[in-house]
Amino acid sequence: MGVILAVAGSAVGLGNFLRFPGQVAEHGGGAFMIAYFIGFILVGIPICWAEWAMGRRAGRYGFNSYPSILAVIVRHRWGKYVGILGIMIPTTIFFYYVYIEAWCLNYAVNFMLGRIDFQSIADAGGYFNHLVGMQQNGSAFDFGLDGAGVYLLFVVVVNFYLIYRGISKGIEWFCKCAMPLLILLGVIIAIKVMTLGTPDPAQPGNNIEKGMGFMWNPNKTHLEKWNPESEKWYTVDMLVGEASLAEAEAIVAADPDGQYRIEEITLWNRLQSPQLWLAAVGQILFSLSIGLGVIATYASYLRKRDDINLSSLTAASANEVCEVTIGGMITIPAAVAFLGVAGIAGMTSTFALGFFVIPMVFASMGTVEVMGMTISLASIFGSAFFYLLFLAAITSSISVLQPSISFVEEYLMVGRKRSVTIMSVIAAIGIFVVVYFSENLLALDTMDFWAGTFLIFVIATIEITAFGWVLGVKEGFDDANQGSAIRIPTVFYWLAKYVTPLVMITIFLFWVRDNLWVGGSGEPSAYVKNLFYEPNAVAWIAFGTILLIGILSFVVIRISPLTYSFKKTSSTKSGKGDVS
Amino acid sequence: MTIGGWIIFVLSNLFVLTLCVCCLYKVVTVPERPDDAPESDSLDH
Repeated sequence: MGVILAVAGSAVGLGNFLRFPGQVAEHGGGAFMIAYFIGFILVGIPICWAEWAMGRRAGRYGFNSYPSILAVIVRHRWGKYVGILGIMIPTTIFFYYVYIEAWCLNYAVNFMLGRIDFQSIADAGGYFNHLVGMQQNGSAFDFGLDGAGVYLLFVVVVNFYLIYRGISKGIEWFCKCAMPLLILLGVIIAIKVMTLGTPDPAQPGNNIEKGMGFMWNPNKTHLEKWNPESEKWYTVDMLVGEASLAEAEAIVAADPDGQYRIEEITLWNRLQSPQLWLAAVGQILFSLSIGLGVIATYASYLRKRDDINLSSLTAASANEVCEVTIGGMITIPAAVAFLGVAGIAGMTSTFALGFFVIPMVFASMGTVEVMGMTISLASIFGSAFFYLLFLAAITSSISVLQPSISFVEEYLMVGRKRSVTIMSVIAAIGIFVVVYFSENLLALDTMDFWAGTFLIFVIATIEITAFGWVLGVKEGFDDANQGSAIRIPTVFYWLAKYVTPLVMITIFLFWVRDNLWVGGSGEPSAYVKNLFYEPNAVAWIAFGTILLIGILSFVVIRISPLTYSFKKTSSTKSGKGDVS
Repeated sequence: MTIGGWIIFVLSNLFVLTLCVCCLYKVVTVPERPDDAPESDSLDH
């Protein structure tokens, strides 16, 4: 159960409670869920099983770091150089994830102290901008209650304390305590949200049923407004019933500039959109922590007769429960019930939803009188929600540093404590880069795009292709079946060999088309512009930090006394095992 | 929320909850390993 909770803890993060509902609402509700579950079966489950199988297989030869794991799978020394990506990604994610964790803790504490009472998006934006140092580089080092400094220090200390204690006594132990608490908090908040009804009787159109409909309905009719700044159409209302449709038609008829339109979105229309599939499969990848190198690293510590198939499926399904059941019932339904569909127009991105919209929603909950005592619902549910996010984030951050710690241990042949010390110095530098270069969150955003998104697609595509075509699905999954409580169904052998790599390559190409160039128009996106067309110093510093981890990892591999030979049954790794 | 929305909401939750409960049931009912087995489901060894 320890390994299941550790992997589930790694997977359950901010994406479950903020990114997922935002994506569902943005991409057509029910239609998104159909694509999402197809992606879960075609991509999520096969890659999860493959990662666990890869990790445990390499572990049998005494290898625990991602570069070695990939080298074992491809049976060639170049595998360890490609596997450096599996060090660069999680280490970079750690740099900015602890910073976001500090924000969550800040909101939790300040909600608890009754210091957050946003009346408008402008209030929420002002608080957030001050907290993260949005206006100026270096301004995030504020050690007051409203700042990030003190929370960041606390978060870093807690992270390294747990990591230093080791996998069993630190990460597993914390996940065993935190995961049930996280689920309990989620269930309490979800029940509260589901019983909101119509929070403001003066706005009978804004209610929880409409919120649920906005999130889950497969066919929708929206009134949309053109935003010239972002050059996008934003939903200002979801039309339910003849009366609201007639009202919307009157608005469109009275608008000669064509700024309003009525858009009918059917399930079939949505399912034909490549964007929907891209978003759904992308969400599955990020949500299950696929391509981070974390799962394979954990699995490498398991023995041949330890179960991996059932553990993998249990961790993935626990993550899905947190995402679909809990995540799907909190943020978007609550936001629509309090603010209406227009109130969250264009605010479904992770940060906007989590740190602008949701704090306003909880602040609007007001107070209740219980036995003569005034109790602030905003304090209770606001702090509970942000503690939930904090727990979700910390169970992920303590896991994402494990691949690099295992890598340093293995290649420099040092003990865990020395490895953690080395990584703490590197992490301090990386965290400083993210926090100091806080203006417009450019450093964080750059790292998240290149390491937290682009490279994840790359490594996930490489590993499932290597697993299916170099190692061989039959050998890999037959190996996974050993000691497992359930056998992998035969259909997944076929899926992992043909369908999953094909879907991954297709999705990756679409992603590159849409994200490196604006909508495939040939115009480079801001991320590409900041590096190559109009070079930006901060973007390059952030990008350089990612590259630096790669270069350092390369140097460590080159100077390491660890040697490989991939000739049949003749390879050695310090006498630990051989790779054949 | 429309009937279609309810159907997708209920089926989605039913799917993930059933999968999770079945997996957890199987995990807790898997026979324990012999005492002499040095390995455990813990990650450290």
